[in-house]
Amino acid sequence: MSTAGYRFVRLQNLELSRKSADSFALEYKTNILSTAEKTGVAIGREADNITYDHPLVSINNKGKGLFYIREYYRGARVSPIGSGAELSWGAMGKPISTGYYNGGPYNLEQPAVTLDSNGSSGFIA
Amino acid sequence: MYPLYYIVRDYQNVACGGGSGPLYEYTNNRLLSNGYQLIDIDAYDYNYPKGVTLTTNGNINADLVAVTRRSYTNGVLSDFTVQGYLYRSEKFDSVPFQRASYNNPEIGFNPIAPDGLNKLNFFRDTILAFSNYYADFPWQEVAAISTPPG
Repeated sequence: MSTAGYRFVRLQNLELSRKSADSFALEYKTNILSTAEKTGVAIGREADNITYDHPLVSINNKGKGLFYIREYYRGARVSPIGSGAELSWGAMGKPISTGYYNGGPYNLEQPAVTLDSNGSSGFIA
Repeated sequence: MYPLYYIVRDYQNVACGGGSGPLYEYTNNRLLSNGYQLIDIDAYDYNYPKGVTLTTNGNINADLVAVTRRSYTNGVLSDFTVQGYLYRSEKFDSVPFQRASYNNPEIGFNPIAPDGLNKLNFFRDTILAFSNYYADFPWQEVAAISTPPG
């Protein structure tokens, strides 16, 4: 989402859980100081000559999540998602490549991730 | 079986004439909606609508619908926000029960929730904001069910 020039990436975490024997509730899990962040949390921002696209999240059935995004002219950046909407590896994650392969530029267009059932390993291509 | 829309009807009593002439009274049987479920109305625009069914281990699932929208109030156009809308969705383990327990041929399915259907909180709120440009959003569901408290 964009404000004032640069585009931001915001992350929201919602959880549907059982609250009693016969009821469920959807609640915000992106809480800072116990207050629901209904606008999500900014997890990264573009800068001059540094642009991103295709922000995505992959989550396994244990609830472990991985954020990943395309960085133009370099490659993909990734980060595990910690509690709430916190990126464990910092804003916009860490790059997994230089954008160069075999001596030439390798412009990854759309990263795709798959995780194993435990979320302890996965692939990105 | 998955109901995607609901028929809405009402009855409207109408009277005309009278005075020195006869008074005519009749009742209109009005069809208010024969199609899609109305989720939101009167925003300036709507973009990127998406939906996902969140599964539970109870007898309901939850349908979460989201859309990027702007409002227009008193001549002022708002920024884009993403709104979420939550709906209870009964798990139908027996289509014949839903049909056999309600014999109205026009509806054909029992719109009255059976006793014991799990409850779901009301949720109709902002889930992402704000943007001054069309903001798309992906999302990912994970089937993680918590156990009852206590």
